[in-house]
Amino acid sequence: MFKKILIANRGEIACRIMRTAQKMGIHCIAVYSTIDDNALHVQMADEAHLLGDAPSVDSYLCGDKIIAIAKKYGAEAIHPGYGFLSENANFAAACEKEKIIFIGPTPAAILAMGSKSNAKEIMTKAKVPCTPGYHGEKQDADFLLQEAKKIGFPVLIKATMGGGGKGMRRVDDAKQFKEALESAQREALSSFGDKNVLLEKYVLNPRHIEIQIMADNHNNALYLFERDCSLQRRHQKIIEEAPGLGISDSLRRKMGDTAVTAAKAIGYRGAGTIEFLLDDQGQFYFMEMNTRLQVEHPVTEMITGFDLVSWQLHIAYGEPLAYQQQDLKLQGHAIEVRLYAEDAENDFLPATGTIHYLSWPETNKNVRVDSGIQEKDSISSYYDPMMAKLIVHGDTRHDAINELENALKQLHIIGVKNNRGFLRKLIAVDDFIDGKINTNFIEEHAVALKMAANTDINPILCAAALHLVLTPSENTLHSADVFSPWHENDGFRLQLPYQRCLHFKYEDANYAVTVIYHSASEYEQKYVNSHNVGADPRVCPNIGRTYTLQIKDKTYAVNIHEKTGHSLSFTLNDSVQTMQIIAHQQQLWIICDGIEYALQTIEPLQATNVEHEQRGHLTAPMPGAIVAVHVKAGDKVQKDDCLIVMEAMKMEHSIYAPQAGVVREVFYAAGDRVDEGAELLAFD
Amino acid sequence: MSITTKLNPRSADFKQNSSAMQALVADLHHKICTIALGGGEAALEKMRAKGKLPVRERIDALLDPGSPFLELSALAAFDVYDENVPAAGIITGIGLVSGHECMIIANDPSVKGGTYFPLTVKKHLRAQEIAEQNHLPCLYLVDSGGAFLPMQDEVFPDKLHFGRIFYNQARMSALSIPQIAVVMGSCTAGGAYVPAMADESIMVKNQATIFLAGPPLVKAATGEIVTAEELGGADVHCKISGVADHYANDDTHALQIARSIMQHYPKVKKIPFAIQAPCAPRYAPEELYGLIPSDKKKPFDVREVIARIVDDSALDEFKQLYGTTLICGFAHLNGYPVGIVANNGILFSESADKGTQFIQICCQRKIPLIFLQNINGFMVGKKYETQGIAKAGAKMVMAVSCAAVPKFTVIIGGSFGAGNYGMCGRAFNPRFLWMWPNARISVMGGEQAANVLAQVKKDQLEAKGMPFSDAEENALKQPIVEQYEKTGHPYYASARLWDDGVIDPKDTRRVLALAISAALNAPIDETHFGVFRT
Repeated sequence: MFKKILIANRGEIACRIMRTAQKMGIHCIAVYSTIDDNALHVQMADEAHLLGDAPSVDSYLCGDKIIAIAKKYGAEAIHPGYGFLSENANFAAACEKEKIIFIGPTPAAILAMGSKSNAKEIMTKAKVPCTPGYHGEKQDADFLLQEAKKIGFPVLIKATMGGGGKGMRRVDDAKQFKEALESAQREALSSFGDKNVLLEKYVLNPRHIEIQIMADNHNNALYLFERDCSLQRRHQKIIEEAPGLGISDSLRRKMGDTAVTAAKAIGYRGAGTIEFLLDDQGQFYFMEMNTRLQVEHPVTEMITGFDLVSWQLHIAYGEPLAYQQQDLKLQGHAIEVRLYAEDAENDFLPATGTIHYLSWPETNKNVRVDSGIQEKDSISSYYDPMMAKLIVHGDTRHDAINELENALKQLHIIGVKNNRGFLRKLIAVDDFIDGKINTNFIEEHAVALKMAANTDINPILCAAALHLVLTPSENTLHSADVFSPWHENDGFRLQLPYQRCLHFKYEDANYAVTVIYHSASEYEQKYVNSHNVGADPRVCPNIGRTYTLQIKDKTYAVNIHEKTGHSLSFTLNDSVQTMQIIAHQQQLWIICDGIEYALQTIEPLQATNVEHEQRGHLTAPMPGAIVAVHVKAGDKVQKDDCLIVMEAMKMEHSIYAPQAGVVREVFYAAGDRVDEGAELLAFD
Repeated sequence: MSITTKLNPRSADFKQNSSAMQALVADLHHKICTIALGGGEAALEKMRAKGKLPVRERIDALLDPGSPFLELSALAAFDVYDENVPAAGIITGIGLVSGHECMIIANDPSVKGGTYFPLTVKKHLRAQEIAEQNHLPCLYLVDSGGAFLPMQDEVFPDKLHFGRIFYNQARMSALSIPQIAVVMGSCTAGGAYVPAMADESIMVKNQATIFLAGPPLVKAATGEIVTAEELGGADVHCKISGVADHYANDDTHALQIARSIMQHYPKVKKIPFAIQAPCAPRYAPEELYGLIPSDKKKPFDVREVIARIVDDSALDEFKQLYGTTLICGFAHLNGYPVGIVANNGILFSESADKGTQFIQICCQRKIPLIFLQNINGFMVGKKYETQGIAKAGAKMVMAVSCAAVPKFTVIIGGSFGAGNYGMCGRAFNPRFLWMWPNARISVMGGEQAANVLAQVKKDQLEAKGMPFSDAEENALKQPIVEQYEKTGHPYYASARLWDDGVIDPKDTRRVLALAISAALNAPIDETHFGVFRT
């Protein structure tokens, strides 16, 4: 086996590869960009070397630098993970040339499958069924429009070199075609360095079924069953499961055999995936082949019990497959959910920020977390917004869903907007539980998914208020008078009551909580009220404190049991509440019964300043780069005209005119980077 | 060593004492709650309607949220004037502003327009005195019509009258003690000097005015017709005259500006001695109620009081076996080292000498002193006079007078005669002095005074060969006892600023802790004693 390999990737996949490789006794070299210098994959590695600046083109896409590092530090092989250089035939070829083993298919196989039009040609020849579409070289807009009309709308425009939903647009009628085409081409160019697109019939209510295959250098290939990747948003997968729902053994065999045929048609080696569209008639069409280890490979690992990375390493080392098709047994059901840094309530726009708090579910043979993040990490807009994956397994799909629900309840990534809450809602939808899923599932269930949980927010507001009441002021933390009685924030007054009104914002509504302090002597706190008799109040200053809280016409009696780290437990009238509270500046996140609530504290002065909020300005909805500016100062625009196009995390986002008017000033030009909330243009 | 209590909370005495003290505390509570309403609910509503905050809400908004406020002399002017002037129309106290202990001096415009009665001036000056002694930054929340004109002769001319406010501001500014004025209402004539003399001042737009003479006076003097806002509003003073420095939209904004001024105040409080982690006393503070005899003639062991005030109830007594009517000892209170001087009976020469030596030790070591006063005076009689008890008492008074360490006095029982002096009464400049609601203060006890006067009368009558019946004697004594009861009462004392407030006994530990901590803002000076008569 290899002694030393280099992992040319970052995030969860780099960590996941290392986990297997290190278990096999292989020394792992990590590479990183400047902003990743303290990332988990760097910490896990046996050694790590800097590639360059944050943008991928200066770091993780620099094949030359990676190969140079591999040579310099004696890596025998390079595992590219997924994304970045994993399907770059030139890179694979360069490795070959430098006598470094590329852990993946041959450059020829990558090339053959990399161009979708090319792939379809090969597949058609090998008698693999394909969808109607145009895969030709001609790219002029009018011609493509004609082709689209021939195929019949709805039509999908896809980047020829693409994958992962980037450079992909669904077009429902001819009128939208050209704008969508332009945008797809631009995204294709920025993501893959090639603006060519292909057209495909958009299959209605399709399911996205893919077959995992493994092939060695000795002409052996087998399939490790299918994955159902139908649950997608913005054409990117968010939930994958295996086996596929309602896939009969015969269909499974048929698709599996077809996949093996496809792989053999190009002399494939290593781990690969053949994606099919399955319509409601049981017809399946070849979509594309992914010549890499996929994000969702763990579901296959869960239902087969194999470690695919270990297989990859053995194959790359030249060993034949250790199993034959009949040795493979499908065990139970596995589901993976992807945790993205994104705003599920705002069209899944990518989100950035710092992780202030991280909590994973307890892992075991049925619950697995693949993550590349840790507390205090910053999620930047430079890379893919996927932070982690949660994979569960059960004897049946139902068991797996229960495991998933339970695990998601315990999983918290606080500080960066993410889709955890959305996933919880998603897996609770009846049609999901009943297995009625297709690629339009999210659009079709938009209403159910947007519905807010009908919970009583008052206990959460109480916890928020108590958190502020119990947190010592910053000003007192560095005082030389370390035990100053002035620092006891108990609202002490001579003979008079003390109360405070605290203001919070939650989901666009403002709330006021009045906290009435009840004095308790140290003696009472220590010996009488305490649930932990004898604990000195100066060591556990909040134990046994009592308050009355009022929210509108509701009154709550509160007794503090304990406040340690993020955890606050207290009695609220007759019930005991334990919540996790994470605070960062004005932000408060409260976790109660697995639900995360994001609140903002409002300072009195801030409340009066709200009225100064500016109008007539357009701000960046997320951090990213400006791709195109369609207007200049003085231009008259109509409502919904596209003004600026920006890109973040390789996704394009258009900024439209909120109303008809005149552009006063434009503050950025194409190519500029902007922060979230940056004023892009002034508008009258 | 920790004090072991001998108190039995189940005894009839304890229960009787306890209910008597609870009644006193309940009365105090009731009075202070009424006083806290200032000019009354209607007047406060009127302020709110104008967008102004009532004075206590201003203070709450100024202080660090949830932090303590050690209010001073809430009973000031209680039952003194023909009209009701709650808290003398001015709220003073120590509170935390952006982490610094500050003296807050806030006019209550709901009480007689915030005008200064004689006791308003006295309370203002006392607050400034505390600020100066303890180096506490002063924050003046100004909203006052100036001197209460009908009593101008008791407010304006004397040394400790209105002018002293500005003298103090100037002197404190010179000592680098910040003087910040927040002008939230009118600030006329002499009052105009509060913001003008301040290091920094803030004005609330459309609400605050500063001028030497208001529109009516201007019209009378020169015939000029001008509005108050044009004459001295925030726009004038923040934009044109430069009389004020910061412009605020409303009360809350003004107080936020004051908070941020203090946020930038870089002083670091230095703790001059080693401190320990505080440890709650072993006994409940409420038991103080049951240990003070409801019958003032009955003695009690002051160690039981100390056991409910100091850390872990631990007191290391000094000269435990000598001069046993005065308890001296070292303890910690909220982690601060303290020397405690507490009466446990009448003062004899030995106890006075013991006290003198103990005070000298504390001054040498710069340990703050706490005096727990419950004293009927020094022992009288031929034996004691010939022993030179006056000399012993004088030494103790000398020691107390010169001691430069912070001194704190709590009158927990009687405070009579020269005992008041030796035990650091008001005249001896303790940093703070509080009374319990059961306390009494006078030159001697009411009955003793009545007896003395009756004896004098009897002697006079006897000299004339006239009889003095028991009935006549009682008729003479009764009003004297009553008068002493009235003028020796803590409310009477507190109303006249003879103390800094009447406190609930169970708050004693906390109040002392806050006061000691506040006192540490000023460095502890070297003590230089005068001549001790030996």
